Amino acid sequence: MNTIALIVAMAVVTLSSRLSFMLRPVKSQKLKDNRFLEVFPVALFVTLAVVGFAPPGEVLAVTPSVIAGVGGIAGAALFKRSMLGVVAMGAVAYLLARLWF
Amino acid sequence: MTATNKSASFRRGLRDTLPLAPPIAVFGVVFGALAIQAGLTPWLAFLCSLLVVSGSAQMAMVGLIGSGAGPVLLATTGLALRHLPMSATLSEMIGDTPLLRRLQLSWVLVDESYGLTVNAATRGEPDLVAFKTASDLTLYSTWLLSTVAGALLGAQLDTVAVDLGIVFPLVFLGLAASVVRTRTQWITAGLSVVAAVVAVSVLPVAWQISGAAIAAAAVGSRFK
Repeated sequence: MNTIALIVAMAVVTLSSRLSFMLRPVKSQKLKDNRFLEVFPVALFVTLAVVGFAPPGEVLAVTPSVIAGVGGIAGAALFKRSMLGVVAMGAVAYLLARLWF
Repeated sequence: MTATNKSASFRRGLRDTLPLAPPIAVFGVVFGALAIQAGLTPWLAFLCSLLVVSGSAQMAMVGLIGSGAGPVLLATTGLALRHLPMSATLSEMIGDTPLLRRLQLSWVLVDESYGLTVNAATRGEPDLVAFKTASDLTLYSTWLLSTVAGALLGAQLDTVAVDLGIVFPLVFLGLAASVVRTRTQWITAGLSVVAAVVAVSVLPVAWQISGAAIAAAAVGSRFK
């Protein structure tokens, strides 16, 4: 497969998944009431955060990234879940941890 | 929906997304440079960003292209699985939006704009379509321009020295903190930590996020 065909195939896979439930409005009450959809955003965001903080191959090691995560959680608690509070506290924790490690 | 609401939501979409543009730009430059170093031309690197619009899938392509199309498409599928529930949630949030708008919103259904839109919905944003459109425009234009910059820098850029840092995980942590409300969501958040740690330990990189998020949501949604 040449590179252009590969890129187009990747685009087809990605766009198909993105379009899956977007082609028509969600009418079904059953789907609207689906608890899976209620909790999926939280699951996705937490997973993206944990995978980002976890160093490859040493998932349980205490590293500056993990400490940044702890700082971010403290930021969420201190600043009433403000995004800026999470990012700022996490970044400060990360920089301090980099000095320490 | 009034024009005032639409315009205000559009502005808030820009305001909320602009802080993400610099890290996205760094990511795009790194992708562009890696694509050139992997043997793509600048035109193909740009085409990839234009059509695929998925940083993680594009990075996987650059890393796996030497192994052939099969592994690249398998990785793309693993990464794309999470779009299924993302599109269902978004479709439910935007209601009776016309088809063309739905197609436009699907084109840039990426983690960042999805996260910001869910967050905006939680705080009662009046026009989510305008909000996400602004977010998508910001992210997409940044992604395309930075890919071109990286592709033109190509082999001159030391991609190892560019530290993408911890901005993205912190942003997602912030998004999680802002949307978690119910007991079921808290339980799901805890399950997601466990699932992500397990996934990072046992799953191939391309399947970690989709696998962990879908598993945690499937189990978490059973709790009341």
